[in-house]
Amino acid sequence: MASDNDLRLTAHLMRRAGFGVTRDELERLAEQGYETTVEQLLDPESQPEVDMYPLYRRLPQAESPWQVMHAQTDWMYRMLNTRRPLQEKMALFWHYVFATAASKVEHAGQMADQVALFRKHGMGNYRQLLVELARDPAMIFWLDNQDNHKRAPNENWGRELLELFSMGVNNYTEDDVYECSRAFTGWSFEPTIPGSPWGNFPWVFKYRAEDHDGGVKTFLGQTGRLNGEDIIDIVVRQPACPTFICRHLYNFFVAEEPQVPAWNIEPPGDPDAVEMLAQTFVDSDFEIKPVLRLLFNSDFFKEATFRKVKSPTEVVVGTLKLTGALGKPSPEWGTIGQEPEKMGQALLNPPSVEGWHTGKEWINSGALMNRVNFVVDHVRRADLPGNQRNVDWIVQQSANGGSMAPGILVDRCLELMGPLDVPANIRDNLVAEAGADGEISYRTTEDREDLSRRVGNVMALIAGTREYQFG
Amino acid sequence: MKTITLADRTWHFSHAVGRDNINTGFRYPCSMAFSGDGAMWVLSRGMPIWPLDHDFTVTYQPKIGKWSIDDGVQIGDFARNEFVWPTALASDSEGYLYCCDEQGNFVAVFDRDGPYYELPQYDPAGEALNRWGEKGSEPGQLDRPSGMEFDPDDNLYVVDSGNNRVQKFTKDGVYLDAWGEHGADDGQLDRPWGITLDAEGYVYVADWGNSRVQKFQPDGGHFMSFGASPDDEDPLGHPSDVAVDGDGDVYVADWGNKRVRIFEPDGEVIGSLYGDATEFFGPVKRDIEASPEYARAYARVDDLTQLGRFDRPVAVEVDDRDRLLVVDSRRGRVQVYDKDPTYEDVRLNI
Repeated sequence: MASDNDLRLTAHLMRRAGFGVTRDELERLAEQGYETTVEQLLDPESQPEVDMYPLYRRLPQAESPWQVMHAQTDWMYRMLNTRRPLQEKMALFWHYVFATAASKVEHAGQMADQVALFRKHGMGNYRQLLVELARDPAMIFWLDNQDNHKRAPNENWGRELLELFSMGVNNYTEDDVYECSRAFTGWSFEPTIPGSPWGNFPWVFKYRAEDHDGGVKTFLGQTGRLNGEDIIDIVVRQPACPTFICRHLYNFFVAEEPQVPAWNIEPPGDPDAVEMLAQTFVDSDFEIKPVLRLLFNSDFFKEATFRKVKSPTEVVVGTLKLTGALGKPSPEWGTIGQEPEKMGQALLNPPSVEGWHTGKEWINSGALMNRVNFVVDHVRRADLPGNQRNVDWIVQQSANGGSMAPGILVDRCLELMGPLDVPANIRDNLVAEAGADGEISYRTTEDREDLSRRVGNVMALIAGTREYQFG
Repeated sequence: MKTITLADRTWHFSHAVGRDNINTGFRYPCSMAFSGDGAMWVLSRGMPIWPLDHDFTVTYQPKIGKWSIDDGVQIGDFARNEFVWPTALASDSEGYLYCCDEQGNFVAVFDRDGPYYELPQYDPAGEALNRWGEKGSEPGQLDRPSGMEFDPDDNLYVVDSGNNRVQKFTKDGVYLDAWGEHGADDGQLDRPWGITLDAEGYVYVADWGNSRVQKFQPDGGHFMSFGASPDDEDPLGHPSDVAVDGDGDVYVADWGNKRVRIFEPDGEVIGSLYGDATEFFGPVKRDIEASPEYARAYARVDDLTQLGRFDRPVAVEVDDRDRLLVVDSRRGRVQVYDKDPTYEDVRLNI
């Protein structure tokens, strides 16, 4: 049987490298061992792909959607049901880094395709990922590269490639931005069929040789008839690049860093950790998996429990997993993708190319209320199968002649929602609530119903604690 | 007109009806039935729309629309406020229209002639003449009813998908019989969807989760299965509906593979249709011609084949003229094919 420490560590891993797990799953993973679980996460192909057909049967608009809310549904369904959680979490990570918004692209299917690109290449080679990204029609349109012409370069994509997607400011000159942009002239896209009247058909990458500037360019000290792929080759070999990407990984998976625009003036919180990750990134020729393996097995990761504010997406998916909601077809599938938006994170619609400001900036008075309310609304629903399983587990753990002390009930709820440690005064309040209606019993059907209600109430209160906002 | 000849049978693509539009067309159509007067009812499932109220209530706006088949004229819509997730339509011998809802677990009965309303109008008191059904797994109860068909005696066969069975009711909802259970063996079902009966009373069920069609005797005994791997080298992928024409040929809405698979009565494969609606439906054509921007955009497209393809064909029906009608869900249209028993390909010996 796994130790309490094993369970806590595995729960930490699955919150960060995935979206949380049920208690049954947690016990199974902890039993098989931490390193084995890490290797399993790093090998998504060993697990079956998520079956999307039950969703598409009920919500055909989620497949190749033409409204962003349906693309959000598609992604949320994948996050909730995937057996490849790290693959999906990495897709979310790259969506943070290569932030692209449907508000401009206005082609939800193309946004979903970009996420599929992240899903496919997000754990592979970073250089290859950048090449694919440069060919991605949604990204091309988002950063105007279809308007980047031989005789009139547009610097939007070229600038963001260097500033936000690979190195950060102060690592290149304005001349480098211009030359980079020249190298990507002619990298465009075209629709296969006009978008009306039958919705949007896919866009496809189109290299327009006649619009490409084939002249000599000098970029970051290298001169030649550089094309886009040459630029990416040069970029990834700059010392700033692995540090920049690994700082992103550290920020996403380990502990909060300052917001990205401050990175040129604020050093990393743990420079040794970032440097170690960066060195592995270089040594592996920019393969991402070795970096993730090092990260998840490191002490700095294992020691970073509950140091990150959960993102809205993590709150929503984690709650759905905890409570077993939406496991069966439901009209709520159609709008679940919008729930993170109410908490400040509209998936596929980040506020700008800089992406979301994370960490404590996820929390404001309105967002906090919505975060807590979403959890409360779900943990108090006795009809949800996950809640019923949780009550069964609490009863099973107690085995004390049909009744349990309020403190036991509270501790079990904290285990299910974390395992979470709260200050003594908070625990006292939770215990008072749990015992407010007298003896906690589970002998009769009525007792079980009352227990279920009390578990929901205690979990609802836990959802309102400061500690629960961290993951 | 495109002509398709497969195994000595010939179909001519005739035309398409409808467009993807909640007002003037269909929105994710999922089933259809014939009204007997040259028209068809088409059930639009709708889709969740941006919630406009404070509590983010989900609304789907499903509806039943009546359309003439030949000229594609929209006669009217009704039943807009009656469902959450409607799945199937069937018409009894008197012309009453039955529609089931997989979320509400009921069957609702409507008058064949409306009343019709334009969006967003509807009768807030409800338009159904009768409703029956309740959620459960006991005989007569329903769990996600997904397909319906009447037999000549006006008994209604309902695919009770969540319970993995077929149930037989009188048209007033009195339970008569049931068969099927969850599994992959002969006679077992996995989340079945559509259903039809042939002239001899055999019952065909689209066994969605098992990617096959099963044919049952009128009393529910398993008769045969077809379309599944490894017997079929190009197997069905999650079929959603089935229909049988006057010659006994079987059409399967091969939903997962985005085609209509055609089988001989004994289950031998005849071939597949992939959709041929490259010509625009009349009102759409007028819209495009009226817009210089659209007209220019379409003028640049060399090949409209992709436009004509089925995108999740979800239902198939055969009318009294042996025409095949395919409900092309994600394109919001119905594609119509004429079967031509007299067609001979001209072969010149030169």
